[in-house]
Amino acid sequence: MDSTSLKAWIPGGKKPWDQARAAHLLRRTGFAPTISEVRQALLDGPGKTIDKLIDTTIDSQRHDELDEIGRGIAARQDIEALRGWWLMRMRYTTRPLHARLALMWHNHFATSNAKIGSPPMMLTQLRSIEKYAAGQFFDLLLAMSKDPAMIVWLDGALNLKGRPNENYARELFELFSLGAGNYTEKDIQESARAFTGWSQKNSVYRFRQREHDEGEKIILGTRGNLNGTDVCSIASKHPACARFIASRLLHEFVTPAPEDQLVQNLADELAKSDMNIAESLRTLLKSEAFFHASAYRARIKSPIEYVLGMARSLDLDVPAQLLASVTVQMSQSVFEPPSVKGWDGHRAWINSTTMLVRLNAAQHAAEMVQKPEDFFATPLSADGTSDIRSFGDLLLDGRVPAPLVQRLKALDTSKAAQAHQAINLLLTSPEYQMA
Amino acid sequence: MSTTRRTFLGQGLGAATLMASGATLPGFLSRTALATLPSNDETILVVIQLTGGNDGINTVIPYADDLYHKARPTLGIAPNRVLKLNDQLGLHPDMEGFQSLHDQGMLSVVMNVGYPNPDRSHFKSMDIWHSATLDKNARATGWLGRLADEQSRAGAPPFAMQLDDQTFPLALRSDHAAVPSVRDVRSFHLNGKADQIRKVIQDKRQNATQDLLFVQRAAVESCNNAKRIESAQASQRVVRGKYPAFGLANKLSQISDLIAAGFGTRVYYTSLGGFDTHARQVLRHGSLLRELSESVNAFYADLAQQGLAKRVLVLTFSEFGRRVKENGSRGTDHGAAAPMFVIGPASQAGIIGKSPDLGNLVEGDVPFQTDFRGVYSDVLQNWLKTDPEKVLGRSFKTTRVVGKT
Repeated sequence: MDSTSLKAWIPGGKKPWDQARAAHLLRRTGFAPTISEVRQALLDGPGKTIDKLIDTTIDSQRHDELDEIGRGIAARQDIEALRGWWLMRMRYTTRPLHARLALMWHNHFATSNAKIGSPPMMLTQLRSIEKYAAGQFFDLLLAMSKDPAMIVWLDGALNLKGRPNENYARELFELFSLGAGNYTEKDIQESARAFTGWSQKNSVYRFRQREHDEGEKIILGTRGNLNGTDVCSIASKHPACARFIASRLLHEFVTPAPEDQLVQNLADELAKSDMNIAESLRTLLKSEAFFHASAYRARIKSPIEYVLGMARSLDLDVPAQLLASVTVQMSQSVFEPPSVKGWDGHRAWINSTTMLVRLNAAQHAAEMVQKPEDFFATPLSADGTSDIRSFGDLLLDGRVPAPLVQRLKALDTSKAAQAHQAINLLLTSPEYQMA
Repeated sequence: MSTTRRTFLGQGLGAATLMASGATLPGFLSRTALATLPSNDETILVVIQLTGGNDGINTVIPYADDLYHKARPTLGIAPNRVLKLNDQLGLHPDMEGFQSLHDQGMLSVVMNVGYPNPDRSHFKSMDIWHSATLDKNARATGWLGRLADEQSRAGAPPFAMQLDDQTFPLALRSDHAAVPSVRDVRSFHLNGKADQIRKVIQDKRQNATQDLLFVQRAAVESCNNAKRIESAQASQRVVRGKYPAFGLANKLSQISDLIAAGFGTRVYYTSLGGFDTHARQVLRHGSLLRELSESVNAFYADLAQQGLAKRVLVLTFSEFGRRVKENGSRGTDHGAAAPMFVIGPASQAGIIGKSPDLGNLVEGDVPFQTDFRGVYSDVLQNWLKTDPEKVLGRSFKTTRVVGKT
């Protein structure tokens, strides 16, 4: 096993396709599995499970229904309710990997309603992200460049011929495609000119021909009468872009500290597929790097992973507005990221306040479980392994740390109150904070 | 109705039992509750970050310079509206609060603060100010985090703390000291069987990764701080200043509560955001400066009533100033050097440095005259009484802003 290799992982010997590895895959590609999802994955094997995650198509009737509800909420100008709506969609999604991708791109192209002030525009942007999330990166970059919320967010409508505004061009290179250090200030100025006239009116993209600068520009070595589409194309074909997006995918799905070699390997894969996200992801999820021991429980869960994970694993019905308020208190306010850089993630999720909110949320979640004593019917054995019915297995992949096993054994889990306490101890354990 | 629809619509408002309720308990912080702590006359630093790049030119205005009015045809402030500090410079008209502090001898303005080869990315430049280094490979910790590493003692209250609802700043990132982030002092509680939870979290792990240990430490610290803050809660604080209805004022009032309770934290970090005024600046900039100056003014009035003002120094900074020439959208783009405010009875009141030389700009921006690390040095040495070299890695030409200690 090589932690940087994208070679397909073949289970066997001391590294079988087992509960821990199945749960690892399902945590990274969704919001923590239920018992039945783990069982299904164990039956299907890794290859089929991953293909299903990627290839499951939209249930269009369900999708349309949810869409209609979302549009109704947005039309009421209620961003809190829209946040709850999105979180509920993630909670009950049939396409968890695609939900994770949409969330990842929302963070990548971080746009905040705090400036936009229009829930319908935020919803339009989300639908656009969802449409292109798994396709070619160029299409997504272009869609975001024409997205009305993005145009308001980074002052695109004020970027006019003879009076360029650099705001969008700078972030396109620094945060959306190449990363700092791969372009010059001149490239930014020239790209700002290329995007002049890309505007919006009444929340719809509009190209204002008269405000577009038709002059010659030189951008990252390409010369000509370039426009915004050209900039997206030049940027998405740039080798730095493949590395930048590879790094984003690795942080999201594999490890907070990907080795350079792994970044390069995935960048090569992206470049080979013309920056196709789904196909590169398929290779990545099936790889030795993904199933390497160093990736297991290596990421700190985001608030959404933590909260939706508890709700899903424990089968809790949590009201939408509660999902919204609790994730905001843990500092992940979807539709209102802190800045255009989005959330830093990993260790940045954790501080005194957010940790306290996590601990309090865990206690509340534990107490919401009905008949908790049933789930502890099979006692934990000393090494933490037992039947999947037990919470220890469900929440910690059967790898309950030894001191916690002792603490749990001291509780009489045939009594509801102590069973609740046992669940709480599992949910507040440092291990459970890791994805 | 389908199950999906029912699931979504069935979640009425009535169903909300708060999952994360830090129930908001009113109550102030009492000095007596913490009488056992090393109550002190130690100095306290409050850092206010102005996020987004504050337009220095329209904050401390070179109103007598024709080049200023030329560069700012729509954003320029007419000389008769400027709150004059001397015959060259004056404050934005919305900053009466700072004018009042100035008149009381509590406001110093350090002009043209920055660093060589300014970076115009918000994030890169913020990292430079936070880490206090230009070396991009040496930004694992922040200047105040390193100070906390130097000064923290086991069992003592945290040396430094963020009191804000924003992302934890690199400035406070330490190597080993616990630096908490508190969003709201008044709701900082651990529910349930707190002691048992803490014990279980604390159990030693075998073969734990660094990240797992990090999470474990954070959880333990969180429990400890909840206990500390809860035990400081009582209703004994009688005198309480009035604060205007601003977010920054609310944060400063909480800092004041902690200081009044003798909490023991020496460095508080908070922020005011929204300074990235690329377009229609006039709609936002004045109200931000009003929030800043009125909030800080109220903070000092409150502290003064309790005889605490002289223990507190406020430092403001932003990641950069803005381009001198306004852009085509009645806004300003990212720039370079800008003024810093150092506020408190201990500050050397008045203007330190020169009016920006608008005839000699570098790439359209005000070049720096004073390295920001010279101001940090000053604060570290003369206010917090520590060796600045230990925190900043080397010596810098130290300003003389902190004077009357």
